[in-house]
Amino acid sequence: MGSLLEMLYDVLFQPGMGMRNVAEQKNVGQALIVFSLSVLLPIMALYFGLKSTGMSAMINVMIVFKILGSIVLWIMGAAIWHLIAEFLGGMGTVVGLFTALGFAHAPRIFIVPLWALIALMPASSKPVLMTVSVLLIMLWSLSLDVVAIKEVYLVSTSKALLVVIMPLLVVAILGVIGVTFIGSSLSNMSMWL
Amino acid sequence: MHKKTVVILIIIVIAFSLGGLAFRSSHSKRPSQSEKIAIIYVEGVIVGGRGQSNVFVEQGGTDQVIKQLHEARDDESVKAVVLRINSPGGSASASQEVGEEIKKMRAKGKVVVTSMGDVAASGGYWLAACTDKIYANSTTMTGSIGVYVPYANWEELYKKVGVYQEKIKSGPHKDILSPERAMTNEERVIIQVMVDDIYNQFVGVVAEGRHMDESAVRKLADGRIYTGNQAKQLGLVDELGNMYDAIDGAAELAGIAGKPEIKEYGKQSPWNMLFGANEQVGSLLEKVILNQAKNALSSGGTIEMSTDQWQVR
Repeated sequence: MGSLLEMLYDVLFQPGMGMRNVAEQKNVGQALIVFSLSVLLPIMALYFGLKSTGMSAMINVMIVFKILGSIVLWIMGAAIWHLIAEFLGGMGTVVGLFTALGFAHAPRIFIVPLWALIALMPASSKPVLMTVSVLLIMLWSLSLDVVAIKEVYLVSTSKALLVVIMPLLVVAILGVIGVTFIGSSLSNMSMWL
Repeated sequence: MHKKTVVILIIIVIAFSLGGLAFRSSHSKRPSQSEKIAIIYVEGVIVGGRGQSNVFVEQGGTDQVIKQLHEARDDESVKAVVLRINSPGGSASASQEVGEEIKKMRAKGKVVVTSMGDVAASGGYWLAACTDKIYANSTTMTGSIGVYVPYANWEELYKKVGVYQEKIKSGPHKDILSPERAMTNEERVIIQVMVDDIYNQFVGVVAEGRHMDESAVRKLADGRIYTGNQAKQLGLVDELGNMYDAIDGAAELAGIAGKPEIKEYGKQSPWNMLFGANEQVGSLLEKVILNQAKNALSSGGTIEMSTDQWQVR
């Protein structure tokens, strides 16, 4: 437990050293604990938030989506980034990356205190503050992903960044192509006037 | 040691934050206590049955609509219901079933107001006629008060392709509306009597719901469709306006002071959430075309109402 707490501290506040240790130890069990807490705690915050707004019907669906989505992204992220990192000349193991990516989810736990603070703010500022807080946390988490790839595959920061954004770029390009096609097909739809 | 202390402190802060959020959610004012207006959607062809229902979406089949009407009726916080109709019609019995449910809801003292979308014709109008007040857009297609039974005779085609189907019947009319043979005059009379019976019931529903004489309804009920504008002039529609006008009208009729809370019934698919109106119009168009094609090709057995304009003959 002591080692886990120290490792968590390092990952959050000394990410270079923390990710190096995580990649060396490859302790998947600890990664699973961090991942589970990082996913479940924000979900609990989300649950309380939705419950208070009366959107109870959506809660179950959103929780299932969130948990399954996070697991799938963790596994697929490790597999895809491993492939790209090796393709770009990195040397590391997929288990090391999988473990490091599990720890990279850790900043998400800060969503809970942030949302608790935002809940006390005026209603008009809540949506903006919530969006900003989620964006900041996601950015922190993404930067940890970059550090994880850098430390696991011993590549430069720019190369690690390229590994991280490459799948996003591919998805964005495919999205643009898809939207273009859907848009053109919708514009051909019969009008009702 | 310093690292452990910091992480433990973070855990304590998170635990307190979660506790605070839980406390806040359990003590926040429940919106369900206020007076609500329920919105129930009737979309596509009106057919009986359960339709499609899964974790993401509920669509098709009047059982879902009836279930939603029941829920709204039993919910004490729901003071009025806006029935948003976007349907070209459908089965007579399914329309009647929903219509009766609407009448029961009104009998319980709840206001039911119709908001017509692109199309609220035939069976869609049957439902609208059962409500307290009807709102339509000036370009809405409505009316089509009438009944038809689709029938196709494929006898010549079967002969050409060499198909001969024989039936051993318990009675002479057991295979009535069968596409393998021409309808006899006697059978035509039987079907016509049935169509007339359902038509009379339809006219009765409209006359009762719209407070009109049956003779006046019959003059309008020759199966033709009307625009919302025409329908208002003829007394088939009360007001011209969109769904929010209907919501305001329902709130006024129910005596809800201030801005009413809206409660939407039915699930919306993620696809609908992404592509919204375009998908809805496309889906409606597709259902209308499919329904007409099905009617034209089917061998009968179901009695359906539809807009004459789209009938495939």
